[in-house]
Amino acid sequence: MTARLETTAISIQNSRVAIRALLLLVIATGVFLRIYPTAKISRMGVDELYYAWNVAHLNSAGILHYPTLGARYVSEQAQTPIAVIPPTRVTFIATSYFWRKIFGTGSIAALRAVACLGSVFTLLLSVLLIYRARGETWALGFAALMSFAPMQIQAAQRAYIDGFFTLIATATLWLLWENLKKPDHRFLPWYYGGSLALLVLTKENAAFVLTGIAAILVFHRWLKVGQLTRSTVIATLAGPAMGVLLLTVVIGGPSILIRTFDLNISKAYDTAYVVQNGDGPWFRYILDLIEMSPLTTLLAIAGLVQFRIQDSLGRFFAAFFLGSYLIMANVKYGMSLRYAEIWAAPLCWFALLQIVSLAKFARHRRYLLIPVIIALLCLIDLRQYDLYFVQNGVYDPSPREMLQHLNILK
Amino acid sequence: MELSTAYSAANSARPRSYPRVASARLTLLRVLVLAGILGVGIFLRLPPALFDTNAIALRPVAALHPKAAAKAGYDERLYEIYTDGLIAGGLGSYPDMVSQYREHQATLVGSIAPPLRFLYIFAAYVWHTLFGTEALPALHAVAAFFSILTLLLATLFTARAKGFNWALGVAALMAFAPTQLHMSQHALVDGFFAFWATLALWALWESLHAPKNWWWLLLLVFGLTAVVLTKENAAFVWIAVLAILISNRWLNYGVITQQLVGVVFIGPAIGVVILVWLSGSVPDLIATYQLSVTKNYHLPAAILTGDGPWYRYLVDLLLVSPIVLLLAIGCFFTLRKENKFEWFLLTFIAGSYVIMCNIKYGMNLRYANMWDFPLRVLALCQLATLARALPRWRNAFLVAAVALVGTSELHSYIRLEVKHPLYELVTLDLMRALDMGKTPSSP
Repeated sequence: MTARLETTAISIQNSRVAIRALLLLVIATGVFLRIYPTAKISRMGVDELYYAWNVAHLNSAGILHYPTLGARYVSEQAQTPIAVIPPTRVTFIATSYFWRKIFGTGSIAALRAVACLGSVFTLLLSVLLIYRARGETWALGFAALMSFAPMQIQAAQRAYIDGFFTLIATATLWLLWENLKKPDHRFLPWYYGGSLALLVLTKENAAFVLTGIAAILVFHRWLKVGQLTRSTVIATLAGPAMGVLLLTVVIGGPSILIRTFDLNISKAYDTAYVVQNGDGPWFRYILDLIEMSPLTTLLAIAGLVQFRIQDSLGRFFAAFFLGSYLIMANVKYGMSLRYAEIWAAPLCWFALLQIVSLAKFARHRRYLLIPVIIALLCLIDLRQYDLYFVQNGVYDPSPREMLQHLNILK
Repeated sequence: MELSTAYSAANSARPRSYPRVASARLTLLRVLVLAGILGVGIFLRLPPALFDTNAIALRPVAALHPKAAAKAGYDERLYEIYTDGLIAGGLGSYPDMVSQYREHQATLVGSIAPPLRFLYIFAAYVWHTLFGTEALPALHAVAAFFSILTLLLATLFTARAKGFNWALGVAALMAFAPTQLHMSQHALVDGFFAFWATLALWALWESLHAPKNWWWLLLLVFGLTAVVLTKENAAFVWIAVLAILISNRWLNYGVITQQLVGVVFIGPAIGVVILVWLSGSVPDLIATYQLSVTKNYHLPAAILTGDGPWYRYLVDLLLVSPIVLLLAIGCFFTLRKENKFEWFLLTFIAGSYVIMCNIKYGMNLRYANMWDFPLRVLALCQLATLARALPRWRNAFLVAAVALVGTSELHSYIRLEVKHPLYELVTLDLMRALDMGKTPSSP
């Protein structure tokens, strides 16, 4: 009897070691796909050039002169016919500046390194979230899907902000999850509030993440994901407020900040590229996601439209996804698949839940079927990445451009 | 199943003192609602010409009829020519018409619709004979009439398979289906084809459940023959029927008999024999199809609009009926083994999808018209599953959800086909109508 128990314990131990080893291998593959330059870059995008200009300006003037970026943006944006990147994206520009200072690279290389780092840490952080919430086996499946997510790999290859923003959004979500699970923790609300402040300092899209978080807090009683404490609510309100305050100081005062956003929004409606590519109906994001990752998206939709999600993390992600989707799908000329990167972890999680649910039909063979399906999804996603970003050098995937590469539009 | 259970539970909970009166009232109410839904569905499908010619009778409601913006297209003109040929020469002249098609087709770079889509042309000829209308209005009338029949057939099929409440839901979803309405407003073959495909599917379902009933087998023969006589896409339907028969081993929809298997082969065979007779000979029929298929690979329109990956149909369906598709996808991945009817329809879609998404330059949302009914059954199934989360409000939720989906479908139809002159349901035109197909500029 004791011998049999010992044998079982050893085999469990062995399988755990194997799963952990596999997990590390999958994560290493994901990191490699992000770091190794594969995307075809025929020319720099407008956004990349403006970020580079901001970093170069800071490099010559010094970080303490950040407010001059705000003043310069206000005076120049008024004369420019198209909307350009505002300097309110402080964390990305400042981090790239420090990277340039420390490693002595050029501005574009620094921006690209920071974007890549953002995407790599998004992978690590989201896997850690799943690992802590559901254990190593689930984390393995999730890590595979995240590692091969085409938009996540692309975000690491270019010098734009969205991968970096996704990192902070994912960190914020994770900290909210931990806050709900550990209501007595003293420091967690501070970390969570801090990440919210960083979110506001990173991009205007913080508003979308905040809407998703608001949906979680409003429906937390029905979601049954943990206990909402007063300190979490205060952190949710104080964090963004602190972010706005810091942004006001960094940019050069409230009048510059208001003028910056005012100019950016009003010019966006006159920018041909934005009008041509940022429009569409409420299901525009679903269409974009299907074009990018067809099977993963279909599985995620199936997981999502069940509504009676048994898994608490699934409910948490569902509230976030639906809350942010509601706003993001209703911004006139303000839709882009790059903004949808914040849903990478939720969508991969829904897809994984659906795969596991489907595999129940296979009974004893489900342990074979699940890895096979996940491997298939990874291959399809990698193929999509190759099609769009390696073969055709897509910069900002719009529905029309993607459909052209799929030969649906010619 | 959920709807029926909910309804029975509600009925059984009533006090026994007034069950008959209440039940009779409820039945009457449901019948009236169904009649209302079908009435609206039929009204939306009426051909636009009816409002021009019978202006006095229909004037009060003419403004309510959403008139499709697109004018008659190339295929419609061809069907008109074939119908005129049939009117002038009668059935005996059909081989000559097919021969003339071959001669003309040989001189063209691309493919044009062949006269082998006999049944649609013949139906327009019969309509002309009965009502004296010109060829093109007759084709329009036939398309509209068969779209109405598809709505009624879908309702009847669901009522027999799943009960009255399900039929009510499916009728509501089918009544406003944008692609169904589109086909009713144009003289195209695809709505007509969808009717025969649905009829064959119904006969197959009934044959599986009543294997000794010869009437259902005869209807299946008739349906499969009609499908072959209507369009080459009959091959998709036939393969889907075979997929259903094969999958019956695991999914147990019903009983497969030797007669049923025989009928599945005899029906199309009769269709082919009739087509041989209409073409003149077997080599003539083969030559006609060969010309049509090979030339299609050189047709610029087909190359431009008929290409894409395996999920091309999903993209197109999402553009037209987003909520229905998303609900159907949800149902697709969560079906239980006991949902026989849903599995049956799902196998039909899957069986035909596998072939249809692999035809080079041969993908068009018009061909997916035969999936409209199965997709809506799956969507309703998903709504019923969602309604389980609200046991006390189940019926109210279902009524509200179906009404919401129906409204969204009608809105989609008006946006795509009334405000925009959408004729061919190609992706670029759909995207333009949805403000997504603007000419891009560099980022």
